[in-house]
Amino acid sequence: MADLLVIDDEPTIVHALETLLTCSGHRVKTAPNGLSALEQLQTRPLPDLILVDLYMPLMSGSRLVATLRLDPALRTIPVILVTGAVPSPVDFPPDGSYQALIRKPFSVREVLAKVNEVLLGVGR
Amino acid sequence: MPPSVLSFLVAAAAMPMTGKQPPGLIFLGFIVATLSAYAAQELARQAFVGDTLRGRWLWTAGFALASGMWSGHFIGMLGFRDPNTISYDINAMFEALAIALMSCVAALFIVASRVSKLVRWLLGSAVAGSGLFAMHYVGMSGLQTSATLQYDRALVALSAVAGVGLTTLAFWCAMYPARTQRRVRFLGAPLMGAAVAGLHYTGMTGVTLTPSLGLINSSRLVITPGLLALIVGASTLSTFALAALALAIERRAHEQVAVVLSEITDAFYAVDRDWRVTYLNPQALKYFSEGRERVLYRKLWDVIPQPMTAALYPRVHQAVVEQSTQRVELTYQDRWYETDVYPSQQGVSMYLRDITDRKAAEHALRQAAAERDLARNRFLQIAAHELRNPMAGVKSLLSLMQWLSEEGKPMPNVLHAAELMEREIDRMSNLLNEIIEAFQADEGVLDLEFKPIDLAAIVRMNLEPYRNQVGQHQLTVDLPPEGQAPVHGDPDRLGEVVRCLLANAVKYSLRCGEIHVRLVTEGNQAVLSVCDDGIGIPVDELDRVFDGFFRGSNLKDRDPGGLGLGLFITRQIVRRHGGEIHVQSSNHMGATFTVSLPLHRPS
Repeated sequence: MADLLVIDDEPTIVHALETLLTCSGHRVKTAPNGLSALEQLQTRPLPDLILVDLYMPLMSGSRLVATLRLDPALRTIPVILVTGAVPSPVDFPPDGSYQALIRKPFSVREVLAKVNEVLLGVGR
Repeated sequence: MPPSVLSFLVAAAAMPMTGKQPPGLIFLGFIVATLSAYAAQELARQAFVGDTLRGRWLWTAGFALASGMWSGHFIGMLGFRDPNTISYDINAMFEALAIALMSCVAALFIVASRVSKLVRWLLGSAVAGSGLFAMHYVGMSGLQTSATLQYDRALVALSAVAGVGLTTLAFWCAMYPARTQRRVRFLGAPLMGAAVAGLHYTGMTGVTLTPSLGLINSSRLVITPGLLALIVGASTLSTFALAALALAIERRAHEQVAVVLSEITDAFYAVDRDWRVTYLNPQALKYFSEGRERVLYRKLWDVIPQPMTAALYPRVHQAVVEQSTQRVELTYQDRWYETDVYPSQQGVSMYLRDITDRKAAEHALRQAAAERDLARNRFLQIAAHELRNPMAGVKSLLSLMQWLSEEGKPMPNVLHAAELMEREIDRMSNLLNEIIEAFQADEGVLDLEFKPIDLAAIVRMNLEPYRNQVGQHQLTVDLPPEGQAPVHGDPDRLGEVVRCLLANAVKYSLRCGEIHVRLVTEGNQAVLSVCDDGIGIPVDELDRVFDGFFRGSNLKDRDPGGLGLGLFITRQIVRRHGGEIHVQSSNHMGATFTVSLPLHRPS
């Protein structure tokens, strides 16, 4: 049981991830872009893990990650990137600022495996 | 004519003679021989200039020279009279003519041959000179008179020296001077005339007539001096006529070639075997700004600029060695030249043309092709990306359902999932439709169904769904009353136009932006404008907005996606309705799209 934040501008992806993770016993919140996610992160409790899309309007995933890593309160939250496109390296946040990468379309087993892996890694 | 020759002739004519040698006739003989020699020289020169008919020119020249010699001799003979009756053996006359003809033709063929120049000169003039000498004395042998002829040996020898010597000099003048020293070459003909007249005069001076009672051999065919004069005159005239005709024909052909060469846009150079430029047309002068006289007869490699020589020389050399046509492209001072090199009898012919414009056009074409390739690749990339997102959504949901059923868990909110999947599939199908429409629009085969419609109604109908979707946008609509904007058009396609313009206004403006939709009639036009206060379009990109795949450079990472085909299709639809679409915008100052369509008022 963990608190998760799913950030994506595609409602279908958000719905799929939300349903999947809820059915796996997690508490899930969602946001349609980086800016709205930052607003949510001002409230507590903070999520244990963030799943974020790379390309989004208003604030992209990599800019959100860069912002998180500058904030003392948010810098320790692990991040999994979820991206549909084959992004150019310049669009990625720097290595080490995210814990895993999932490509869309994904299989739910892969998502579950990576989420558990990252959550366990943090717990150790 | 040089004074030395003249004075020699005048002196010769004034000398007392043994036989009668009126100076007028000797001079006439000299003139006839000179003119014939000149004609022969010109005709023979054609053999060196022309590629074809070489032998024929030499024969004609030989005939002109021979008949000049022969006429010169017999004109002189017309003055040779004595109290005794004189007539001429016709056989001897023709023998003399044949000897002259053979020797002259042989001499000219020797001169035109390919052995060393010294040999050609000495051998050629020896043959011509001895032919002249032989002709004279064979002609003399045909003299029919009751007197006895006696020859002074010394003078006979002297006549041979005069004939052969002057002939040799004449040939030297014709053959040796460089092309720039034309005046020297013109000395050849009078020297040849002097050779004929000089040999004749010297030879005749050595003749003594002793009256005798010997009878003329009347069994031989003879002609009288009067008849001889006629024959000689006719022969002279026909020789000149022939020479004049031949030269006129040649000159005309030459002029035609020159006219053609001066009118072609290529620069043309004729180059001989010693690399000298023997001809160039006016265009050739433009390339290397030197006067014609300065270029003519100079070595090609001194005329062509140094940087071009390096590229040109190997090809010209190859053309000569292989006797093949060569084409080479050269660049010099930021311009491109294409040069064709053709081997010719004299050396090579070169055509040079400026292909800078063609090169630029080729470059532009290549660039346009590259841009098309780039646009196509970008389109494929965008299309793939745009299709991938909805597909990924559907696939994720399906994967979720599969997993849930495997886990034996119920699918929560199935209806919402189904709606989402349907929306994603609609997105894909809309994208595919847009692509298909864009191709149809591009090929001008958009399917349209025209009928009388009310544009205001169309606009209102297509705005309705947006009233909810625009959310935080402020949408103001200003439409005329029903029936005020009748047009003849396809309601679905015009609805597409309205939706496209509105969707763009929403996509490219801030969340709380204002969007104005306005439809008015101006004269016989219905004018629909959609105005937003969004990010706008950079002014220098405005003319590309309606091209396919356009993305504003001010979008950067705010690109909301899409194929960039909407406005492209919109413009095609508007144009098919006889209307036009315009855009006014600048960066960050919003954009206004204006569609004008012809009104269709039933009369």
